Amino acid sequence: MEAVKELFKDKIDMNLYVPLFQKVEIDLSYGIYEKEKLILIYGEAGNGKSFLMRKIYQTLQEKYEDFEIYFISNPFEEEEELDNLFVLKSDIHRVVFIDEAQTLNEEKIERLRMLADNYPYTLVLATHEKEARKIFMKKHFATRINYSINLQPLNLEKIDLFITSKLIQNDFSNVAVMFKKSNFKLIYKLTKGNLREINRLMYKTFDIIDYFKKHYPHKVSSDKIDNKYIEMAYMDLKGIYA
Amino acid sequence: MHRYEELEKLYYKKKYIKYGTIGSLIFIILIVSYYFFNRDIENKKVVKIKQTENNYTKKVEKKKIIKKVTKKDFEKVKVDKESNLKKEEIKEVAVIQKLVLYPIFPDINELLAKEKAKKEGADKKVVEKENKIKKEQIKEKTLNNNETIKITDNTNKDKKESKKIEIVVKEKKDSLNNLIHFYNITPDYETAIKISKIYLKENNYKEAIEWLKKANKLIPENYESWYLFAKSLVKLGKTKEAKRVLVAYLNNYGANPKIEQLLRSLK
Repeated sequence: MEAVKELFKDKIDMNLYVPLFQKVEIDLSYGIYEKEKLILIYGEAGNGKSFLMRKIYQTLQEKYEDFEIYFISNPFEEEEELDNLFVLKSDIHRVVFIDEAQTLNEEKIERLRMLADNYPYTLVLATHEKEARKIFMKKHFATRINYSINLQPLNLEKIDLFITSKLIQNDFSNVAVMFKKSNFKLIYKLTKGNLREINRLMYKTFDIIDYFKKHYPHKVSSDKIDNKYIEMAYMDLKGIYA
Repeated sequence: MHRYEELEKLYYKKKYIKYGTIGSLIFIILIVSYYFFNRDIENKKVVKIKQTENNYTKKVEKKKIIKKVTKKDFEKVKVDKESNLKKEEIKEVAVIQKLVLYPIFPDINELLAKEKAKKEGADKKVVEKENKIKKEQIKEKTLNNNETIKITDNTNKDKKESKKIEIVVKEKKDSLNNLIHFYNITPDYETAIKISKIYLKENNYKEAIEWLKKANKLIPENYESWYLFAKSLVKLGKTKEAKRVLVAYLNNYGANPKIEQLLRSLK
């Protein structure tokens, strides 16, 4: 269980990527290939925007050698890299992925817009839903957005797919079999389909199971995951324990 | 204790609280619904009782009104015996006397037969069956008489006519014929008793017995018809039969001080 819980650690590891948004991936890749100016990905925090951007960035690097591709994970922290973009002016098509775009100030947003207007740039911006509505839906900006993709939380079936495929991909099919529909229902109820929340909950659940397996092995079933541990994990995460 | 162990305890505690509250809520809902359900039933019962009481009081008031009309008007107004009766009405009275009224007092021979049957150890049920068959026969007879039905139907349907009759009754004098006429239009226990009493005063016991039978047919459980019937039998010198009649009343309707007193006086 120690190794299993590591799979759900809150970190971006492309080896643990599960293709949950295949349609979005295709749409986005097509938009970039068509050299669209502005592409906006928005959704609630923890819905998998960063993971998706990373995945596409990775595939683009492998596929399209003609493009210069940049990835800015946090514009606030990587301000220099962003400023370099404004200096680089050439005929080569550049694709710039900017995660956490809500941290951009209005001046930077305006400069990015000008850049996209005047030079061969494709800007892929990922932001939280509320901020996207405030900043990027301004009239002069909104008219230049070619693609606007809303990343929805996972439904029950996708939660099932996410957890089981993650476990099977990493040779934990014996654990994947232990999950029943009631477990997924409870996970969906507690996390409301938020990917980050699912990862946190799973990590904590396996941590608790690991503890009880070591100290009270008679309490832990080897055939199934008891919903009790998932609820306990949720209580611990939400501070109900205190 | 490790935090996960404490967490487990807390988890169980929360579960118990959750199920406890759900259980108690269900229990409270059940109690409340049971209370309201019972209250509705009780309310319905009270309403029914009130309705029956109202119906009963209305009936009593109606009877009182009829009594008032008869008593007061008969006392106030002096009537000529032959004056206002029409020939047709007299005919109707005769028809009613012949067809409608039917004695239900036990015949003396029947009483003797019953006593014999009792002595022989015959079941009471047999006697009851006989009574039922007789009652049915009586009903059939009355139903077969179209004329009587017509008369009664007319009285029931035409309220205006009955009002007119009431006015006529008020105007008529207190005479035996008028009482008979009144009885024939609206058969009434009190009127029948009153007529029988008049006959008793005139020492016409046979007629009195006939009217007592009519009264008894209307309200068989009333002791007065039995009492007067027995008295008139005594006057006719049939004391044994009178005793049997009184014993029959006591057997059928239970103790009555006046009946018992008369029975004691006959012994």
